[in-house]
Amino acid sequence: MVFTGGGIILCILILSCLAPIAGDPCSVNMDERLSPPSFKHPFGTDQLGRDMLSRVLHGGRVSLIVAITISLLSMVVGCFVGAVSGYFGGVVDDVIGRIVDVFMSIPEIVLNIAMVGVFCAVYGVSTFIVIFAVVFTNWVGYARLMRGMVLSLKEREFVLCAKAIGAGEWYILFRHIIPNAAGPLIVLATLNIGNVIMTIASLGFLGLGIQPPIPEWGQILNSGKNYITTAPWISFFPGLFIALSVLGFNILGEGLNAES
Amino acid sequence: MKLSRRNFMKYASATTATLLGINLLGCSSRQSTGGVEIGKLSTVVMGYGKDHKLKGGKWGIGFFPKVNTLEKLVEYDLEKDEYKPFLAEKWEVENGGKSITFVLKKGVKFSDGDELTADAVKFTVLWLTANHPLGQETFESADVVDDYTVTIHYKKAEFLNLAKMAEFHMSIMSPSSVSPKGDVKGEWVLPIGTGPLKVADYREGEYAVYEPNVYWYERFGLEPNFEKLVVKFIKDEDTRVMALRSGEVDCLSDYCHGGSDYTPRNQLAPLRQDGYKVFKRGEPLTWVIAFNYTKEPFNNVNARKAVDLAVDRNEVVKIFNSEVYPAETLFIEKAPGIKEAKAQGIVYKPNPDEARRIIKEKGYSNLNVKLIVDKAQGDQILVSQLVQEKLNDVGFNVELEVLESGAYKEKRDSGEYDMRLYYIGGTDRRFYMRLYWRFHPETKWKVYESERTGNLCKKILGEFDESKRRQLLVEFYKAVYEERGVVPLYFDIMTVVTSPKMDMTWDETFKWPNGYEVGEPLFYDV
Repeated sequence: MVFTGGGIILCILILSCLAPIAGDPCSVNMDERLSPPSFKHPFGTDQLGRDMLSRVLHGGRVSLIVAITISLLSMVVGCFVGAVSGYFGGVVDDVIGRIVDVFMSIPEIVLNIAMVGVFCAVYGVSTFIVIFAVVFTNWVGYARLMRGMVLSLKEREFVLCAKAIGAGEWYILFRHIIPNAAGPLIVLATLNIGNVIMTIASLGFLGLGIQPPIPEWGQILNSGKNYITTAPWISFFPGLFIALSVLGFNILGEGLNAES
Repeated sequence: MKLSRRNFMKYASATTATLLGINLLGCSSRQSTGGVEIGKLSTVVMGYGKDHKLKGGKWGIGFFPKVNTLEKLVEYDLEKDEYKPFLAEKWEVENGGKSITFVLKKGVKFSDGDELTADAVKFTVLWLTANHPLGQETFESADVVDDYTVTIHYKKAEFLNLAKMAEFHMSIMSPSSVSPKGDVKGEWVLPIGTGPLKVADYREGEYAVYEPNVYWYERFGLEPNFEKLVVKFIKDEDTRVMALRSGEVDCLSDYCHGGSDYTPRNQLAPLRQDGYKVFKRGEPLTWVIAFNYTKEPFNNVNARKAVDLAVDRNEVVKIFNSEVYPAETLFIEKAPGIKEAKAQGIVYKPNPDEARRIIKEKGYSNLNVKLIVDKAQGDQILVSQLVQEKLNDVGFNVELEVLESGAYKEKRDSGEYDMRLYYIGGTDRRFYMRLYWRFHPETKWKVYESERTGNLCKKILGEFDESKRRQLLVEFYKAVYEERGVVPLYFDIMTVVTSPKMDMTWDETFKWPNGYEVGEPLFYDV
């Protein structure tokens, strides 16, 4: 499973890295608009005559970079909050616990839409806002997992030994506890990237994510919905790549989980 | 009572089967509001992209009811540049245009049976003055001369006063539209007018139901061929098309304002192919590139000229499947003065090589310029991407910013942009009104201002003589062209799409029974 998932992801990553070879994703050619897939344009062209292969591969770069960035940032924030909550306990744990409950009580996508909507209305749309909005809701899963891990690890002998020789609390947290919780967190992060790709694509489809002319899978998918009967390739290929990448990350995550 | 296992299974199965049956029945008995049978009185269902705002708002009710339930004192003939009698049979301009006395047609009735009199016109004028932004800036007072004669006094002496009387917002309404009746500060109830339709029901954000106004049909010697017109508000354009294809609605109409909430242009050809009727009309509504002409680089005519020369309008219209028309002039050809201007060589034509030369010569190479676009105007995002590419091709470095409506307006108002896509003109009746809104130096929504164009605009809007006004219009088009105040891209259209079973014609869609052509779709003969 690890190899299958990893293989799919690796293929998509290699293709995305090769995107510049496919040409400029913004190059307009109105004489070739809405051309079906052909040897010249393997994925066809869109309503401005732009090569869909180039747009999908460049879109992959954007979607994957943003998804991985969001997952890493969410992991950092979630781990820190969860570790502090679990290790110090008491009032800190209660307060963080209630905050987590609040976040968990609202569907993630609804919160994302609200966040992006509010910030974009005030500051305009930017990739940074999308990243911020998704990280804002995405850290909770990591925090819960980390808290549980810390609660179990802090009673273990190596932590008690570290305390006995006079190690500081932050030192113990960062040097002994967090590294020992890394395994399950990596599995969660791998599974989470797939969800984040879906979230970004959903926001892009709703027009709330990364904005044109930067190509992004969800946004390309949306731009093709008016042409679904006359030029289905505009929506098909970004949809296929979203499905494949989510599938790849999920298989990889499941595989890592099974092996751990 | 002890329930045996056998009985339990029997009752459970019966209950499950009953529930399934109820559910199936519920699914299949969808209320059908659509369905037209030609020649019979029936209900027609329409899909429309905007709420009709029948409860009113800052700018009053929606444009659809303003056209189809209310009427104006005069109508405008764009081709002849002439104001024609409608509710008023004649009028006289006094005090150099500061007052106009209208003589009303006799025997015109509101949909509630009350007769149209000078009192109703006075009520409309006073209500607009008290409640409507355009009324507040336009009217001073109104005097009833006799039952059918009313003199309206305006704040300024100008031709625009007459033009405004054909405006959507200046539609005449019955004093019964408010409660208490005739109280200009009273509570808005419903629009009661003399137009072909009257409001039967309305649910905000969902639907409006109209019925024929029998008095209107009597006036024109017609018989209504429908009982009800149900207008469903369907915001998403694709959903509207799907509703038409599935038979949920019988027809689709573009938003009467023009420029947004229309049937997707790329769907018109497939709909035609599948037997749907598409009625389309070119409007004097032109999408343009507007500049921030107060700062570098577009405070310089050469930079604006380079943009104009870089863009090929024939390519722009391809985005809309060539359903809209390339704008080589400021307005469509039948707009006043355009033919004369064209004969004088005032034609916008692309010449990328000349654009490159200007950019190189004037030092604009790789100059960063920001093009902003409102995300709510979906097609404009595609247009702006094409414009961006074309400008980058000739040497500019265009940064495209697609913004939420709020952020867009903020940037537009604070001047944090170099170029934006916007429209000038509107449907026929708004021709002069929009000239005022877009080019008069004193208005908020102007797209360009220079001493020359500003003065010409003022003169045009003050001139009652048609031939002098036409001459001024040609001079104005020349000035905008020479200064490249805006860069016209394409002329918008207004469409109505009907299912094959509907019996509408182009004339019934865009002409009143007396032959007056208007820019907005009409629904008196569906």
